[in-house]
Amino acid sequence: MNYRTSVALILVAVFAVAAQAGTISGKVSGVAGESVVYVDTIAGREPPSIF
Amino acid sequence: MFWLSVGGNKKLGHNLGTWPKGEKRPFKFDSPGAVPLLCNVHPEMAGYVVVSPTPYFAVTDKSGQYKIENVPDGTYSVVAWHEGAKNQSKSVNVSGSATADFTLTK
Repeated sequence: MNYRTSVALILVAVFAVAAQAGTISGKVSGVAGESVVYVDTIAGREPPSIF
Repeated sequence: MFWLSVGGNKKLGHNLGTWPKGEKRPFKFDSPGAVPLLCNVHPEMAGYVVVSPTPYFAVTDKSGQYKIENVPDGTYSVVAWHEGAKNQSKSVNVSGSATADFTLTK
């Protein structure tokens, strides 16, 4: 594997990582049992909707 | 089976009545929010449908922890709901990963 190929593979890996979607995590406290957490829409930003 | 409201909007509440076993009656939820499902025969029977406007949602585990994956980067309003508690929403900026903790009150 030559130098150019190695650099190309590294760049592909970097862009692949950057293109991954994110994760929202956390904790709901103050209540007992299960809760539901969902992403709502905000003005000017419309994530993919199921409606 | 009937529900009093959809996402707090009482105008959307209605009664599907009772029907024979095996019969199905469709209903489309087109407004986000929590829908309490009640039975007009058995008052102890109740359930909830939480209608999310996006495919990004999670149910917490018994300790209250949750994780919503594959959320596109951006800034969103994240809402936490629990039966009998006041909803809480927070603005969250997702860039790879983000954390949002909620403390709900009744």
